Amino acid sequence: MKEKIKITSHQLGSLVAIHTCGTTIIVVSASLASLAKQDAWISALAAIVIGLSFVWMYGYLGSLYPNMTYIEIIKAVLGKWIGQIVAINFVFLSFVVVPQVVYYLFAFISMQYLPETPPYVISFIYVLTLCIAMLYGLEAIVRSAEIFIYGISALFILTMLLVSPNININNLFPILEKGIVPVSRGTLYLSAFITWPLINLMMVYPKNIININEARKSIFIGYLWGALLTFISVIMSILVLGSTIASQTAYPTYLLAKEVNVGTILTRFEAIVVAVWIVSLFYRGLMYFYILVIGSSQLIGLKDYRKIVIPYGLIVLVLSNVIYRDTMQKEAYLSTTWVLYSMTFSVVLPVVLLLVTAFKRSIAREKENKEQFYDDSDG
Amino acid sequence: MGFVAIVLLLIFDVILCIVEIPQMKKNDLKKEKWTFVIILGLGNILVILKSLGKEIPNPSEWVIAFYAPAVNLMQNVFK
Repeated sequence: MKEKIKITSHQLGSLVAIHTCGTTIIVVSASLASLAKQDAWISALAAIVIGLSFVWMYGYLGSLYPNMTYIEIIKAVLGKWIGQIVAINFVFLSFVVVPQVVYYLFAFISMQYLPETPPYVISFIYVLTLCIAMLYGLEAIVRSAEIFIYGISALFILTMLLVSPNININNLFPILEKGIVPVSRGTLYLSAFITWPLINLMMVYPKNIININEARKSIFIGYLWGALLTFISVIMSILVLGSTIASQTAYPTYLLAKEVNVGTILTRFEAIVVAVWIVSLFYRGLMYFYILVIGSSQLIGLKDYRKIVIPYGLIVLVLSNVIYRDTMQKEAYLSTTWVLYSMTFSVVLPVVLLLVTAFKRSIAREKENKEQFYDDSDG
Repeated sequence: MGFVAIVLLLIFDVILCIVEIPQMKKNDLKKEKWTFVIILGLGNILVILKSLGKEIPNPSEWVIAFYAPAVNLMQNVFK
């Protein structure tokens, strides 16, 4: 790429926050409630705390290779051939995920709001927005994220405050009824949605950052902020609806916002939650689309990534309607396959990269020492 | 319905090529041109298959098939 885009650490932090709460605010709490029942909030807390170590790992890996994206790091560490194969697989992950994110959106809209509109019309608008955002480039994306994060946080927290009179604390008990296994299952599931997708930010973080130390701090802050929003949505849907209802409805947070009723004036807050959700989901989808476009142009060695945005948009549009056969397949995929698929590229791969880097550097140091030794003995 | 989709697709292709290809030729972006043509061709094949009501290859099913053994293992661990 010709022009070198640099973003500030505050912009990066907002992108991390909006990306962390992306799919989770509205979709995840249902599956989490069905996995861990009333202990879903313990799962969420554990996932957030354990997630801090992964966030540290991504920050550390990025600081070892400044001026590189994740694709370039993979190629630099694993060598030309293996690196190319692994990087192609990493790009393929986004190729699978972008249509899925579009699917979540139109499945929701056509179920709740526009049941008679053809699904392709809804996904067309979404994909068109993705393409426009990509054509404007990274700078426009992060600047808009910087604005939106305040809006969505304020609206979401306001909704949750207004629904808080309906809290029934008895919904939390009994704590740890079925032991630790369902809770750990829920932790694993939630990690695959809030922590591990942060590997996407590795396409932006070391390369387009001015000050890496500051950026590492702002990644932590952004992660904690996004995780807080997720935690609020999980615990509120348990507290207000109870684990049984929360696990049986498809969109618990949406149902939660319907409960808002302040003096019969402030009602029907669900549209606000939907707006928050669409915006944050847009950034989640956009980051995967960013990897798809930038990653493949780096793999092929293109100078201008903008040329392949619209053709990719066409493919994403078509696949968005066939990517899941039905809702059953979606649930099965998300609760099992996606956890492992995400783990492969955001837990196993960074650990391997760090180990190989450490190994390479220790070999280089040994060589240096030996050369120094020979130099000394010569002299 | 399928016929209309294909006609719309062809109009879209023609407009996109008229806008993009001369630019790429002028700036001598050969790799970009080929990648553009290949990806657009793939997209076209998918759209035509879909509008004729044929089965489209589904990447998430490939992933499910690839991870099936590991998923079984995980479900045994977390029983």
